[in-house]
Amino acid sequence: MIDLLLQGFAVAFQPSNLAFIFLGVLLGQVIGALPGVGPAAGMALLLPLTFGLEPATAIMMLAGIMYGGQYGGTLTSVLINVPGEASGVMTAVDGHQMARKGRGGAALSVAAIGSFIAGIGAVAAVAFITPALSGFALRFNAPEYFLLAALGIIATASLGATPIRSLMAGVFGLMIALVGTDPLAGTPRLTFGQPALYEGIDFIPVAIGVFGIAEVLASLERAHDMHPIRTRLKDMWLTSAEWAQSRMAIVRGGVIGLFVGIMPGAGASIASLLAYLTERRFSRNPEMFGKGAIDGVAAAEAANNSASHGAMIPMLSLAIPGNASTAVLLAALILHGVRPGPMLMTQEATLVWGLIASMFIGNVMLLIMNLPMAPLFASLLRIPYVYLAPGILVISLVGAYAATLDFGTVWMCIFFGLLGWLMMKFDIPRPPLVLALVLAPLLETSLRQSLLLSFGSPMIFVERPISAVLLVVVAFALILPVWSAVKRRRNRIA
Amino acid sequence: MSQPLAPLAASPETEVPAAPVYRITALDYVPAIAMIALSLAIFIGTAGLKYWDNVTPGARFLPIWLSAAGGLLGILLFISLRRGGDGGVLDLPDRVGLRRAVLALSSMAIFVVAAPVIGMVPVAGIFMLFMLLAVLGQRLVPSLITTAIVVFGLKFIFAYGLSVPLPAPLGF
Repeated sequence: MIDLLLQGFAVAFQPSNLAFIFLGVLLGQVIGALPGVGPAAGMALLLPLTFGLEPATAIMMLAGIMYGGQYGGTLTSVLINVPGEASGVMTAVDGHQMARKGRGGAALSVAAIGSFIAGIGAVAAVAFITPALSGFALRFNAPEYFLLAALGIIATASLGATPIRSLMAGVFGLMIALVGTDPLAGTPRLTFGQPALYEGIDFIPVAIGVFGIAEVLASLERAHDMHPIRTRLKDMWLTSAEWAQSRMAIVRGGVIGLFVGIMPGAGASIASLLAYLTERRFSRNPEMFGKGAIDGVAAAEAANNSASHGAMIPMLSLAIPGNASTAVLLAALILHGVRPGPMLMTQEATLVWGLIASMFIGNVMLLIMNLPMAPLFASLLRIPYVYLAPGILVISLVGAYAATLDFGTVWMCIFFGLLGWLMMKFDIPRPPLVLALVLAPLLETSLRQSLLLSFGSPMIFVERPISAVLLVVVAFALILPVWSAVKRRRNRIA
Repeated sequence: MSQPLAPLAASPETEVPAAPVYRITALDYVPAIAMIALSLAIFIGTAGLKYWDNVTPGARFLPIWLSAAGGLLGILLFISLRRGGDGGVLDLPDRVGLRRAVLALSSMAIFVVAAPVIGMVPVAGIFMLFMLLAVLGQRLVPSLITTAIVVFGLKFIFAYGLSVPLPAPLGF
């Protein structure tokens, strides 16, 4: 494995790859720092720009945006108290209190160091766990893949605050994927005689519309008068007491983040919340939580970065994305002609190990960007959002056109932008839709292959030990929100 | 995802006034009704396809099950709303917000219609200026500078950097 990792470093250290890793983490840092555009939206917007690149280079850059976004999001959380991402909420709780007390620099430092240590630890875990899981997944057949794909969609939905709406979004994503030519029979389905729909609905306009355009439309509704608290380089130093308070919080946050990140559907926001609550139990000063506890910032930031790396494990080994960002990354792999799945580690070893090595390098770059250069990036927050919003819309439209050189794609992009905006207004989460759209081909093909193997008997999902276990997990993921809802209702009545 | 979240309370310790009771309106039922309607449309739209094709599930197999799941979820949401809500909250824009969103969407539609006729880069410039000056009410000079940066950035990245043949019937 060490040899493969060294080969990966040889790939990642090629000057062009190094340049694109830098570009990716820089864009991620900027995108994360700008409220209104998250990593998944940024990746979707920039995906068409990677078509001219080698697949490995493109994936390294896009992954850089994904984890770079977690670093960049700290700036808005700490300095303005406006988390650009849900995963930054717990950071803002204590980070902004620290900034108000003049320790904003220390909050940014501990967030950067925590994210770095947890990120490196999580990448090491990716390097160890992914090959083992890929090896295990070679035993999987159609029934297991169907249940894994179903789990990926259902878990994302059932962990949300409004499970019925989340599941509706997942089903809607699967319905969108029905449009096109049937994958097994080859007959047109829901195309209404339009040849343009025979190829199905492309992922890029959906992702750009639902994440990019919808975000901007929603952001335009309100003025964003942001007044970031100023921070200087000399404020970035941590005292020895602050470091002593933070170091174990980083370790605990990193471990929690990794495990949560691996689970389908969980993700960085749940990871940071769990890490924050855990840290409050372990802390010597739990009364400081909510008033500027540096260990709270350290734990939350370590967890969200670790989770964003941990989500790569099921994506690389099983082709099951755990969140919206890895769904975009998986789509990028497919669009670059790479077939994801357990064979990826052997068939595309250069790409996978290059990607893992690039994440080590990217985290080092981000540490440098976020320690001495944090005040520089903080100055970005002074750019009024209204000047950025129309530019993001233009890039979205031109990016969608560049993907296919067809204005039909741009129309689709606008349509899905409107749809995504309406979903936001009606409190329907968007990640399950995108996850479902990416997982739909695997879900449908493996379901139909399973039933073909069993001559139509659904018992095939119970007879195979691994699929039986997965079926129980899927059932649990479905029952969990129902049980929670019933419990909530009983409490309300009582 | 990443809609900018509202500024957080100063501290969890701070006493927060009780949230006002959320009142369910007719608009709250829109997602439930839309889901039921979409499920019906899928059911009807795939009527000519086979559910089962000899020994294998046919092209209508998944659509039927998705219609059933979508319909069931729509009904469940409807019932939840009738019984007080499922925790979902409408976030409707005010008049200014709605005007901005509608104008932005309309401008994007005009962008797509005009780009093949006038050229993508000039249309991008007009779009930027319209959005900044007319929709968002920004000052002229910063709007011109922002537009220039975006237009040159587009030309540089897409046309020169990525060699994307952007429509340019007028030559630029």
